[in-house]
Amino acid sequence: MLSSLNQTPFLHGVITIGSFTILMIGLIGVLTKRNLFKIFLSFAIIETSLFLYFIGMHFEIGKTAPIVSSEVKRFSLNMTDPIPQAMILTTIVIGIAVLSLGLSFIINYFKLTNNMRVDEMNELGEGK
Amino acid sequence: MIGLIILAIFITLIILAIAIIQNDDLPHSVVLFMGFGLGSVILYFLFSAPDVALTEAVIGTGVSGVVFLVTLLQIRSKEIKK
Amino acid sequence: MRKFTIRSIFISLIVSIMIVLLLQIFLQFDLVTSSAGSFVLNINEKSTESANAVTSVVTYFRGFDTLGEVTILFLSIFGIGLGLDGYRDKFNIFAYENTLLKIAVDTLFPLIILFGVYIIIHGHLSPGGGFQGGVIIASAFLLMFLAKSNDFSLKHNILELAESLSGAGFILLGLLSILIVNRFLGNFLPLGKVGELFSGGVIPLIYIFVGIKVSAEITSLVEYFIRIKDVK
Repeated sequence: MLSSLNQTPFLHGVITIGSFTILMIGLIGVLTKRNLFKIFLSFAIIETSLFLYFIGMHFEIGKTAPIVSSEVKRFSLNMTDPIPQAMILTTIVIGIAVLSLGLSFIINYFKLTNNMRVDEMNELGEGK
Repeated sequence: MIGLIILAIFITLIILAIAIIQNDDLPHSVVLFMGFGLGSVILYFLFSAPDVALTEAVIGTGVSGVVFLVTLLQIRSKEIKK
Repeated sequence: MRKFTIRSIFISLIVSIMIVLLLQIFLQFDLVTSSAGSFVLNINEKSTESANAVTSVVTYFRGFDTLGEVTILFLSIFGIGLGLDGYRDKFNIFAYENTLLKIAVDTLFPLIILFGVYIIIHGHLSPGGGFQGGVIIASAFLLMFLAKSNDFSLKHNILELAESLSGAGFILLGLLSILIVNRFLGNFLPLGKVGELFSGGVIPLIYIFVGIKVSAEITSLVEYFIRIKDVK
């Protein structure tokens, strides 16, 4: 019973359901919250959940990190796939840069209009 | 054993995500977001991706929290002056 | 108020149904056993001699993509600088007045810089590399901003010089290797042996350029965010 918890299919199920639940929570936050700051926080949560799914689905039980050390002498197929890790590594760095670009837009918008709520944005005169 | 640990960390992350979304105190939710990043660092390490874990530890827990908090400080300073 | 609760319950229901439908697709997803990653792991030892396969993917096999990613980083920092106008005659709102922190930061600052340089230089031997080490160096400057409120300011001409020189160095290295080995960011230096500091050919040079560029950019990002006009 307990040994079936250490198999790769169970692990992939946990990763899929868990990261999609986090994605769902983030999407609900983006769609229902009214504060601009909260919306960007939810975007960061969605980003992290997608990274977890991408890295986790390429991991299988017993595989080591793709690094040669004093214990693992040679590169072999018993290592995890290095390409998704390299992609996610650069995506995290770009993610913070783009997120801070959005946050600077929030600061500028607040300095101009003194407003941070999405449902009170009415600069173009729509809705009323 | 690793399956149970991963399951437990995922449950913690889900609870933290709900707490971040439902919190009314914005600095508090930023600090919870940094905790969320720390949990995902442990997960990346268990998925044997140490490079990604190091990047997330530096950026997701350090710099992004600082950027969020400084945004709040800028907005607060404008609010106090008015 | 009641209208908003009904609306949020409705949105939650729709999103949940969508996610459950997606899950049914993704749970039947089978992993392919032979992928590009296994090919990379097979040829890594012959072609790059770097001990970290992730590093060789970032800098050698996908080096051109790294150039594009550094460009995106530069452009978003440029946009932040355009929006949050200027850093001159502005006050630091991030400062925390504490004598202990002020004394300790003088000791800690060179140590954190040293750790960042270590992470960058050992990028091809251990976890880490240009992106991580660059952000660690930027966090040292962040600590200086926190401790010394308005006494500490960056020398912006040096920052701009480091940023532009490292970007130009990256591209020049790529063009040089086009001339020598007919491949952008190809290897034209002696390879060495796996596990030694001077190994991997051109990989440590590329990561040093990426590290300088990322550290300069994240430092200027933080600097743009913590300055504000006439707070008192």
